Amino acid sequence: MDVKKDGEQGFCQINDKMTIYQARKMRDSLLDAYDDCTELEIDLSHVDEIDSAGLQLLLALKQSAKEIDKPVRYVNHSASVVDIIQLFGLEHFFGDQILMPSDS
Amino acid sequence: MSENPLDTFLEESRELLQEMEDILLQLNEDSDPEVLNALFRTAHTIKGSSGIFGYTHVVGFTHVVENVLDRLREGDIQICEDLTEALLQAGDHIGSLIDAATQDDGESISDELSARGDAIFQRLAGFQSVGEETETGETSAHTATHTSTPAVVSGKVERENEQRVVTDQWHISIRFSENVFRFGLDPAPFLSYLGKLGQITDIATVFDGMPLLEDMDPESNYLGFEIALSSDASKAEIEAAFEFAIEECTLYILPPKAKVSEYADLIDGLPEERQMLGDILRHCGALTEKELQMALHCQGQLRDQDVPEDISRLGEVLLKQQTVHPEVIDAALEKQAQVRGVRSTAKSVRVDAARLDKLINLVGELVIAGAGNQIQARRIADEALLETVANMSHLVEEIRDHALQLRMVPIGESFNRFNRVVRDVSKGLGKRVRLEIYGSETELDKTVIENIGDPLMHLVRNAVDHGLEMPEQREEKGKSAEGVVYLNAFHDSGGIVIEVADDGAGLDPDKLLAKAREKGIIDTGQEMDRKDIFRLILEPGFSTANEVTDLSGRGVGMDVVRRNIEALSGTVDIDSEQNEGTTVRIRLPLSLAIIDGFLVGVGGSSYVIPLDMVQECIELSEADTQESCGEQYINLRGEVLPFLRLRDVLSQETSTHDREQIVVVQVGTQKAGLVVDRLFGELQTVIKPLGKLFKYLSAIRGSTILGSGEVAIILDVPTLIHRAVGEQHTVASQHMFQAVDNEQGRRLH
Repeated sequence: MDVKKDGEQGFCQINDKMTIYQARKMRDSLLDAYDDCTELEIDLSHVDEIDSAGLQLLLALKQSAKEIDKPVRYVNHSASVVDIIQLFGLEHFFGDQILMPSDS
Repeated sequence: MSENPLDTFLEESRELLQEMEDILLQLNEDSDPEVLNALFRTAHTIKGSSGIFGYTHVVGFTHVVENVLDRLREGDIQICEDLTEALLQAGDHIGSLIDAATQDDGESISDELSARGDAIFQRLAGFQSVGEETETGETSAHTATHTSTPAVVSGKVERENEQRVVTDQWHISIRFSENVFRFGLDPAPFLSYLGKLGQITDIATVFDGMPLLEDMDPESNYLGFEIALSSDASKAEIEAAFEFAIEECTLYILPPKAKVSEYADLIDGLPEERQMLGDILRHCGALTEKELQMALHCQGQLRDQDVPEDISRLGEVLLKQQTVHPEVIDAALEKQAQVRGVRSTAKSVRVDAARLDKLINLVGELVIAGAGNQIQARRIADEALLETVANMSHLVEEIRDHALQLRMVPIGESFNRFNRVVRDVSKGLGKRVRLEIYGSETELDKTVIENIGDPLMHLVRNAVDHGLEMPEQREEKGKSAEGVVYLNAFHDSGGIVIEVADDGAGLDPDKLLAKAREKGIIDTGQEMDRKDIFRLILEPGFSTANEVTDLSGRGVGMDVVRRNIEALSGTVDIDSEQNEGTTVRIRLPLSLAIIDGFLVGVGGSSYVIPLDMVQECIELSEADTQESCGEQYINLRGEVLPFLRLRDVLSQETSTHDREQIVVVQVGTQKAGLVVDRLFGELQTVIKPLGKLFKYLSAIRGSTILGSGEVAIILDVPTLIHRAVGEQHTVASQHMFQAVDNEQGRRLH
């Protein structure tokens, strides 16, 4: 996971799969990035595989951020991420702008 | 029928799975629709029978397989390598599930098993989604058969006069357990699959139990779902979509226009806060505001009752409330009819193996008694009596043959399973291998077939793994890239020969010899003929190290193969030509129970030599003995025939008999003479095993009881020949039996 900081704003790009196998490590990395900034933007364009455990992490991060009003945004959702968000009916919860593929 | 229905189920399932595998292995794009139908029926029947026994895991999994097979036969999807592979694995998995279910009453399945099942399920689900896309959203043939559902339900509404919700959609509440990920299950594919049964009109992911990111266990699941589904599928079908995870989730399925009280049950049974859950339900369109209020009110009254906690109890409750739909019962009846159909069309009768053994044992006794009769009749010498006795012994002989036939099974079935082995092993090694099977109609005793499986498996694997070269190497040698493994069986002089051959690299006698010397198995100066050199790989510990070279690795476990074969009174021979291939030839007796014997006398005792090994009898003349100058061989029409005096071997008192006879016996290509005192002639013998005390006597195979009540020892001819031919490694005898040994051609039909 690449993390960049611009002042208090963090940008990170997830460069791995987000499945149960990465879940533990992923949570720690996300938590580090999240604790380290006041605003976080996460690029999901390289997440080519995601399962329920991975999605659950995105949910948990978003939920935790909502609790303390820290802005966390997911951007550039990959197709797999979009798929699972739609499958779970969570488009509204994330409230991010998702670029839908044209055919859906 | 007195047999245990469970056994029948097990046996039938195994046969069906085998059939499924056989069909899959030969399936291609232009397979006959009838073949695809047969394939579908295998899964369908297994599902049906499993349902009767209540093996929900099997039913759930098989259902998915059945669905894929249905699409296949409908032409919605095409067979391809991936699908075949997935279905083969699915077949194996069904087998494991059935085993697991029958072992622990189907209460639970192991984590490993369910993880494996899920993996296959996901693979298959992939195929279903491919099919779905090409179908452009039409309902599949399978779900279309249940269009009568809504009508039946609305009929009940009028009858029961209870408040029902207005929605005409199914409502599914599912909470996956915390450990679901750890068991290798992922909720997402279940939802995708549900989408195949109909349209998910609304879905809400429930994650209120989820802690903050820093507190959560990322490998635990905190997700649950409320789903509104518009589908013509039956309740059983929807339930089957989750069958896999059934141990790991709490599932409620409410049919269209369910009772408000059922929703109350549901709200009560789920962990979330009631009002919030109610909001979700309303949001999903499952309940109207008014219905929600009723449901929340209703639950107070239900408090006293047991709240359904798990699915099976929910099932009971639903049954009580008559919400199990008629089509579920229809489906069960259909399954039963299917099974009955199978029974009535079966051409064979299943008999318990123990009963068969008892029958054969009795026939054995009958044979002995018959022989006794014959002796008595001869003594009395009454012509009429002799005739009836002759008649009877003829009949007894026939009964014996037929009784033995009952135990005879064609070897084809056990050969066919190697299709799969070859396929799997070659795939893993990156080789291209074709299996050619000959003589699969050859019959042999069931016990022999059962015991030959493992050694054969070993040999076939060896052939693919070590015998055949990689495709590139083969092409370099000018052979076709595809290697061939041959399995061949045929009858030969009262026994059966099974050959496992390959057209691979072959064995290098020089390397083998060098290796044997290095290992100290033979002495440095010792010379051996080709055949014996090849036999070296059967020696224990001959080759276990560095398994990658073409030489070593070949022998791994071959001594075990030899031991197994020898335990069946069989022999192993190896033939090999470098760059042309290797043939391993197993020779086995047809049956282990009754043999035709040749009775001989040595000293005061009687011995039986299996008749099919007897070639001829000649007299051992004084001249012959002289000529051999004390050496143990004679000249038999120009051939060197080593012989053995049974009197010496068996330590019988020297008799003064002056006319010794030689019985020429042959096993495979080796011949030897056994010198005996008297020849009595042929008789049928039932082999009785000797007690433990005699276990280490190598020249004796068993005993039998003669008609006179005397005990006769059955000789172990292969061992005797071996002994007559001399110590394997003595140079002196080598050149002698080379003449006998010279004709060694490969016997592949």
